[in-house]
Amino acid sequence: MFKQWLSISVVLLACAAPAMAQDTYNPRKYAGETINVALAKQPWSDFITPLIPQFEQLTGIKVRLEVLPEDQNRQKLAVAFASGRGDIDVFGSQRHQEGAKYYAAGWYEPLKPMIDDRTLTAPDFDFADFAPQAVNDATVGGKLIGMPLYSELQVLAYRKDLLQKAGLSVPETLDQLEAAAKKLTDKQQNQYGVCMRGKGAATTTIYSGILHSMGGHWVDAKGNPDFTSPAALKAFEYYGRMARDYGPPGAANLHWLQCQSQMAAGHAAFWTDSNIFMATLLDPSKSAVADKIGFAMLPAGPGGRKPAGGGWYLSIYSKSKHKPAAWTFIQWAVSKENALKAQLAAIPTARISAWSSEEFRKSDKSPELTRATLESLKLKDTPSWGPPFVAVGEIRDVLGAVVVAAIEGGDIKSAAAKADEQIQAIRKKTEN
Amino acid sequence: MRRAERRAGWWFIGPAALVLVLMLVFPLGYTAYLSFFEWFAAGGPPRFAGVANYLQLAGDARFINALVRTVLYTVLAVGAEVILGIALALLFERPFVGRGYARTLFLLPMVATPVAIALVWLLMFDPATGVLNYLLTLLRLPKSLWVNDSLLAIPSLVLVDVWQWTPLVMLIVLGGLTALPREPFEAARIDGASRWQSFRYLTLPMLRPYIIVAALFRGIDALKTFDSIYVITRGGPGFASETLNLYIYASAFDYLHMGYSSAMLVVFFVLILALSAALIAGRRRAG
Amino acid sequence: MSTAAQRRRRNAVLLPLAVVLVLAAYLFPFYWMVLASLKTQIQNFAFPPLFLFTPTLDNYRSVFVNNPFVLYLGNSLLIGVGSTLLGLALGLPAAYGIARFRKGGVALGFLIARIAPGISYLVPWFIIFSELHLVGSYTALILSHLTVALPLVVWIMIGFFEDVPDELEDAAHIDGAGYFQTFLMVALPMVKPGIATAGILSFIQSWNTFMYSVVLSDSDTRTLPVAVFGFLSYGGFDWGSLTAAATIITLPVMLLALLIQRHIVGGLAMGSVKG
Repeated sequence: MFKQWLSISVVLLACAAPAMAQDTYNPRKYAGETINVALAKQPWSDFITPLIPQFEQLTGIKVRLEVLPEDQNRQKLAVAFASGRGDIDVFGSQRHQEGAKYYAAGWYEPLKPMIDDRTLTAPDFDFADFAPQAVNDATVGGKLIGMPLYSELQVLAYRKDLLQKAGLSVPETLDQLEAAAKKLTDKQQNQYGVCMRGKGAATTTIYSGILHSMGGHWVDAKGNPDFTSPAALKAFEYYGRMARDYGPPGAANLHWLQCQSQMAAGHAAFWTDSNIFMATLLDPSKSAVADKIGFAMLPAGPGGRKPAGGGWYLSIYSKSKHKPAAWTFIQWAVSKENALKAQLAAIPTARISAWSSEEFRKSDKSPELTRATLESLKLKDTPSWGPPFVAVGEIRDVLGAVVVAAIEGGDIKSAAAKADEQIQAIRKKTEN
Repeated sequence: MRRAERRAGWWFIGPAALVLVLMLVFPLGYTAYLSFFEWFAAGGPPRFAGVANYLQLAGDARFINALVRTVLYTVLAVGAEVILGIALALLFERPFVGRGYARTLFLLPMVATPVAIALVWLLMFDPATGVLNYLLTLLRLPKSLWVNDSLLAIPSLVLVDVWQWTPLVMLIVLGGLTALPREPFEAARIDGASRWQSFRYLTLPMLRPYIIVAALFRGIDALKTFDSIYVITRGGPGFASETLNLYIYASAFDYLHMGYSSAMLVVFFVLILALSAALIAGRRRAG
Repeated sequence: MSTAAQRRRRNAVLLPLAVVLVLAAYLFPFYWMVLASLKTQIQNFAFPPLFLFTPTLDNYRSVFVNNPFVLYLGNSLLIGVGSTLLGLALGLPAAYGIARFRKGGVALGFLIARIAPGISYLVPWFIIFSELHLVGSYTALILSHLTVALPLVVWIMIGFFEDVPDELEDAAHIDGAGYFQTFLMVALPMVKPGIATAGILSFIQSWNTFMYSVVLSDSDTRTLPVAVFGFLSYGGFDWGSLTAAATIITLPVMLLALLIQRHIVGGLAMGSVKG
């Protein structure tokens, strides 16, 4: 009797098993579908590209990946979304760039419902493992619009040997930084104190840290731009001086990649930019000064220490026809396993477990950079790379022109006043 | 003309005319129509706005600056091309060994893919390691920032344009030179006129229609230059080399202001038509 | 005061010399392009710039290995040939019609169309093609390139058709040939050089087109000019690969141009080169 009961139970259980399996996560549920992934070229895209065949094998989902330079990718996405084409499923985006615009246009698929859905999300996904700051930055209007790829913020890279030779200590304030840069500049010898981005809109990313460290803000209490404030003007002047007097020639052409090259070739003593670009400096195959680079937090100004930050996210297009498959890809890409791999590949990920893991601690080739990043993450009220407007692209162009004017030694006050006007005009057209 | 002939004519022209209307006339009309709407493509559907876009243009400093820069670029480029083109045509007027081959080689800058050749100029313009600065140092001149300097950006771009299109002017003027009648020059020589006098009072006036045609074609294309500027400076540093075409492109495809960019296009089109009309009228006067 | 003979001898030497100098200055960018494509990354950043060095073909290899360059080449070819053939198919009868039956209005229409800036078409095209889900398709690209080819063909061929003697056509009519037969049998054979010129010039224009392709193509239908522009990420300037790609792109059209160089002069005088 008992045996009969047992066998019946076994049969019942066997029948129930597939039904139960429906209630749990199955990575192969969407096998056979194809998703289109659009990314901007950056360290993380370089990291994930060779791993994609693994994902395809694991899930049976085919991935069509296109990696473009950042500007082109942004334009391609804007144009594709505006035309209502539904054939982009996963894309990389930045909150401080297109976040507000895409959110206002309804192009992001909110991710929280999918995370909470046990049939769609792997049980070991562990959402709580993501750094709160990164998650916060990825949340617009209370909705999570993407999974963070980095813990990205502004740091200062410097040449330990040059500072030592000149008897300088690591600058703690922006004034000290300027003095040190001045001392270490010898243009005849192709030696520059600092490398600053100079390429129009790109400058505003770095300008943010300086603006806020000088006590300035992206917007005043009423939410309006105020680039004629004393702090903002001081920040423009500082930026202009540093680039013009202590930086390489042709400043207007410098983006992060050129500054990275200058630094890696040994021509610059200081460079401030995002931490995600710094690992290359320590790679002996790409850097002539790999063993001489040190890292510190962005020096403080009258307004305190305010390094800018804000990262990249993997998002799903709201009109995608393969949302579950897209989500399968995203959670795989930022899984604990892949985040650890990325962290070991010198990418500052957004998962706490990756940072605190044994393997990372043991193999960390850049403990100074790690320390600078983690210390900066502890700071309060750090600003975003970009201003909180919908038409950020256009406004960054306008603002970038002011920085360029500062670099060329023009009339900053009138340029800033004009920029304020132009920005308000743009906001009227694009925000309601 | 007989009716049968007229009907036959339409059969021949029909298909091409259809393409013309569908792909060109209709879109132009649509652009003009869109210029009266406010449409931020990331915001919502188009909203009728009357002449609001045009009024805004009048007060848009970035637009006005772009307009001025476009005219400046065109005047500089076409001016240089005409002068150099005439000089080169004179050089090629008399036969010499290898003239045919030389003239052929002059074609190459005109047909080379503008994007590709612009990249080469970008390499040559590099302030630190570019070969143009190297040549400057050989001549004991200081290195230049070329396209990385706000003031030099447009002149540097004009240099690229002049390099690429002077051969066109040269060829058109050369065609005119070879078509000139001999007698007036014979008569002038007999009368004791100097080479310079005969050039100034005979050649130039007779060449006027050809020069104007060359200036017309180059002028229209110079106003519309896009590829080389986009690739070399993207309008930078800041906005220092942003011509109207570049601003319109950014407005439409980077910022998604569809209505506003359409209004700019209408103004741009009118500008080009005005230039063409002026030059055509000038040609008619020159006979 | 030099005699006429002395002046002539001096000119015989100075003139070619001047021409050679001007030519050298003119062709220098091409020379530099090829040179840079044969240098390594480090050599390309050398200052003073290197004129003598050991060349390498690595850049050409990397252009094809690291990019679907063959795809882009194929796309440019497909779109170029497609738009040219269509342009000839539509433009030859049209030019004949304008020359024979004096429909000047259409010719004027083409002229005005050519004057308008390319973007004025791009925005409406983009909107319409989006609705039809054609953005990124070969159809959209060939159609947009056709709008460059068609006016070109028409403007070049009008002159050629006008040169066909009336008597020949009248003779054909008397023999009982219809309008289309006359066009096909009498006029077309006589304008073969024009057809070659117009066809090759159209192909060159399509090959060189950047703006239309950058907006209307996607990763599968990208053409060469767009691809080479993509090499320019921020300026991670891999000059070697960039100039190698540039060389590969410009070489075919330059060779084609040399083929029909005699006729280009005439065609150009009619302002057929697009900006």
